[in-house]
Amino acid sequence: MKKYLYLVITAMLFAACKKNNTTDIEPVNLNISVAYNLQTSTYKLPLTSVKVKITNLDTKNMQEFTVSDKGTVIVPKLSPGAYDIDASATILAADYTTITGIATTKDVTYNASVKGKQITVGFSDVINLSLVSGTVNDWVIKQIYYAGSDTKNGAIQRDQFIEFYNNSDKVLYADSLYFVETTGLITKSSATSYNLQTNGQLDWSKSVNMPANIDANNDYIYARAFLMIPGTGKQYPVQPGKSIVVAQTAVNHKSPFTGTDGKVVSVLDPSLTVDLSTADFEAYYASFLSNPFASDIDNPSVPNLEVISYFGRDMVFDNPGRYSYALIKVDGTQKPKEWPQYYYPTKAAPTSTATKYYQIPNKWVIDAVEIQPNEISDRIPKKYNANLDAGFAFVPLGSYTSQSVIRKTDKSVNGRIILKDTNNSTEDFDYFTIATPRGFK
Amino acid sequence: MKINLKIAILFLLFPFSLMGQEKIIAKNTKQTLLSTSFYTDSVNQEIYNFAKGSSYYLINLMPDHVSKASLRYTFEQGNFIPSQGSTSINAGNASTEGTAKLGTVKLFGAFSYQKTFEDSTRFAHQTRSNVSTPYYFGSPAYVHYERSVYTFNAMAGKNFLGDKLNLGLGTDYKVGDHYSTNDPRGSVGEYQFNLLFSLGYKVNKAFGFGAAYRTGYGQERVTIGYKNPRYYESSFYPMYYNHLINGYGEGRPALSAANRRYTDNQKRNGADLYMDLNSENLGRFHLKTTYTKETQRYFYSTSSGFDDFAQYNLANTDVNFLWYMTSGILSFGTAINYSNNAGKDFNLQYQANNYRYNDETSSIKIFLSKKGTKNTYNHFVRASMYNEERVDGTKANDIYFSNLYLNIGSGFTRFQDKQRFLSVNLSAEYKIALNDQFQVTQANEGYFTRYVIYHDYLYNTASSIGGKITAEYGFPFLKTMQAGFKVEARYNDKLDQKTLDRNVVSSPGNDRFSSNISLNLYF
Repeated sequence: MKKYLYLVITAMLFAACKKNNTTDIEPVNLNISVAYNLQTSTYKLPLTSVKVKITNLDTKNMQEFTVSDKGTVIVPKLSPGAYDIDASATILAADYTTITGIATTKDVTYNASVKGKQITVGFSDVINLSLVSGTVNDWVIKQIYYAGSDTKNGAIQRDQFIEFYNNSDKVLYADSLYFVETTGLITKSSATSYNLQTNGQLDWSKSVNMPANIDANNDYIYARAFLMIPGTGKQYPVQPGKSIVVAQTAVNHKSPFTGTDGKVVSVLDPSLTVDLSTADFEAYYASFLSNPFASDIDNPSVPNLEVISYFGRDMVFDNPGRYSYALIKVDGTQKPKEWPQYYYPTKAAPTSTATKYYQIPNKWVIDAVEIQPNEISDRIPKKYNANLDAGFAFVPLGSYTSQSVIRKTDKSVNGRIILKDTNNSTEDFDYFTIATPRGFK
Repeated sequence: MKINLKIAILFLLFPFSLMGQEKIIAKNTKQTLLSTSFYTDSVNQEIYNFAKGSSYYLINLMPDHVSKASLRYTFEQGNFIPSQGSTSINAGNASTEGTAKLGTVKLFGAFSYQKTFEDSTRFAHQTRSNVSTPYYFGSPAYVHYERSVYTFNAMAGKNFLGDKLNLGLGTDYKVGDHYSTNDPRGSVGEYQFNLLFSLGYKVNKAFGFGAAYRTGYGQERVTIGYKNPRYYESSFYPMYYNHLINGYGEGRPALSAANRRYTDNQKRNGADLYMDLNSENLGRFHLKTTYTKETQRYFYSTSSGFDDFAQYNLANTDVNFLWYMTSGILSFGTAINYSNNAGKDFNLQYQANNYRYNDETSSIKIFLSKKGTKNTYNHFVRASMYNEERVDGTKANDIYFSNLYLNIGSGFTRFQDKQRFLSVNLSAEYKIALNDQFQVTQANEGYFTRYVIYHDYLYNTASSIGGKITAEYGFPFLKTMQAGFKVEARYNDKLDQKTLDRNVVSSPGNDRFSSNISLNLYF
């Protein structure tokens, strides 16, 4: 009897042994190579200060790595999927001056990114990241409220605004400050109609009449709306640490007001929207449109923007966040209104009624914020290269949710708030649950 | 649904209708007592449950006429559960079953309807009958699930050629409706249909063999809905948005309505082999081996065609051995069972196999029944081993565990008079965790890993001890039947649990209590 019992126990233990269950596929060991994109070889910037972040777009899991002195990093056991890969290095002003001999008082940040990269099974390519330093300027885009508020209980899109901030320690003047809503490929489903770059964005070099001797894709952006803050030159001073709010319609959207058609415009839930009655500027399209929105009333105490080019029936920002925003400051040599305009680079010849878009040279862009839809599946190829914005920002809840993107506070010096500006909106921006003009986060 | 209802009523009345056709027998109290005795004898129950598996055994192992009808209420509570279990269960069940002989044809029929209310279940918009699947929806937020499941079983068998040749036919049908009543609102409809054709040949009194062919198909249709649109308009609420699991690792958001639905079509085929030995001195031996292979296709059909999402193959191997004999007032036997489920997916995104599932159960049970004029005593000891492994290739997750379960039980049935009895059974269980493997890539850790993988690893590798007590009081009912009022309570207590140096947000509780009360009619 005993030997049968041993036999049974042995058989059961044998059955308990782990079988070798292997699958056909396995995770990827991802190789990343990082290098500074420098115009000179007379100096070298330290690679060991470069941080590489890799974020899985489905799980939002983020891993951070420090690169080797050769600028390489291996991300082990990476599950195939879509990833944002960001590299950045901040070099202290003193170190930068010592290494380069270029005097600077501000820390210099270098960025590089590859967004939405599909890492497939068996992926063996090396991801090359070229670090570039962006423009760090006195003016920054502080807040963009593009999402709008609830379509039933809120103000839909008429309460949108954008806010610009004096991030310097001196008085700046808003006069002749331009800003644009940047266009490009907006819907992936229409991509087959256009000539595209390898990154999936529009290949503007294929636009009709585009000069061949310029880099139409990398040295320029293209504007769907092009607006300018008026002024005589020193008419609108902005103190250090202060901002200007540019409203679509400068009224208190929490309270009822009478539209141009004589009907009352109101919201069911005032907590979902904002008071823009104290905005510094507003867009007023009714003066030149035959069918403006009834809600586009003119607040006589708020100066109107000068409209160079526009889209739609008011300064309506795209609710899903498919367009991006840039701030432009030119010198006296430039006449932005005379900058050239081009058609979308469609495969078919543009029709006679097709719209042309202003071509804005990157060299006059003093700040740019790439906006993307909140859901990964809706995202589109970046319109700005790393010189303008290495990342992007978005409101997590998406359209009509009262949320805005807000630049993070970096530090405070003698009571003056300095906003974060590393030229990477993914790092520089957070969001407000309810847009808050002149608010800080 | 009307057809289902008709079938349900038909099956519900099946045993009663048999009783009606054999009025002479049914009115006989002796028959009622026979049924009662049969259902309260543990050896008989072992044989009966073994025989239910195939129509091959219908004639030889099932009594000619036993019938039972039950109404049962079940209550379970406690957090010592797997991650996708439910912290509280309330369930009502109505069932009937019975055997009968119509001429030379022997019949078995069973029907069951169960309504279950599950509280606090997460990451499982599933039927709970396809647990190894890699492809399903789930969310970390707890939901309340309600389930209605109808099952129907029928078998028929007839002997030919002077009882040498046995032909059998078995069928089972199941239809279920499962839905959650809070966001995310899962709606899972299912049906399963299986057929079995068996053929047996008795070489002589001592030896017989046979074979069977199994075939079946089924479907699960899953849709996730929401009352609060915020939960599907963005992936900002990971506790509530719909996660699509495809493997054994992190899923991805499946937000839009078109991504929150799928159909799982299942087809299965298999075969059985049987061998029987009868010895006057050594008792009766029955060996049954079953192999079935099931293919599952996950897809959704639209007006423009089929969108295929995943494929999954599941192979099942069962080996069941039963030996029993009677010597005087003693009946005893041994049941040895082995079961293996091996699953393998074909991930359509990667065009390769990414997920492997394997479970194995081996058990041996020795049982004894001592039948006296007034008292019947039932005893058993059981040892079983269960191991399970889930592998996800692209996530580099490989989790394996192996457990040993030791059970011992004893009980008696005391007949106070011919129609009144009291039955009490006690049993104890000890679960010992033998060995395990935990290979989970922390870099890929997310909600599923934290809420399901870590929790289940801790649950499955914990040791526990438990006990069960069952008491039944039998009394005459409507002259022709015997009724039994049965109460059962079970308690399981966690003894120890591993520590895991990870971000554990959900871990098993300390205990689980389950109970049921039932009214059983034997006739």
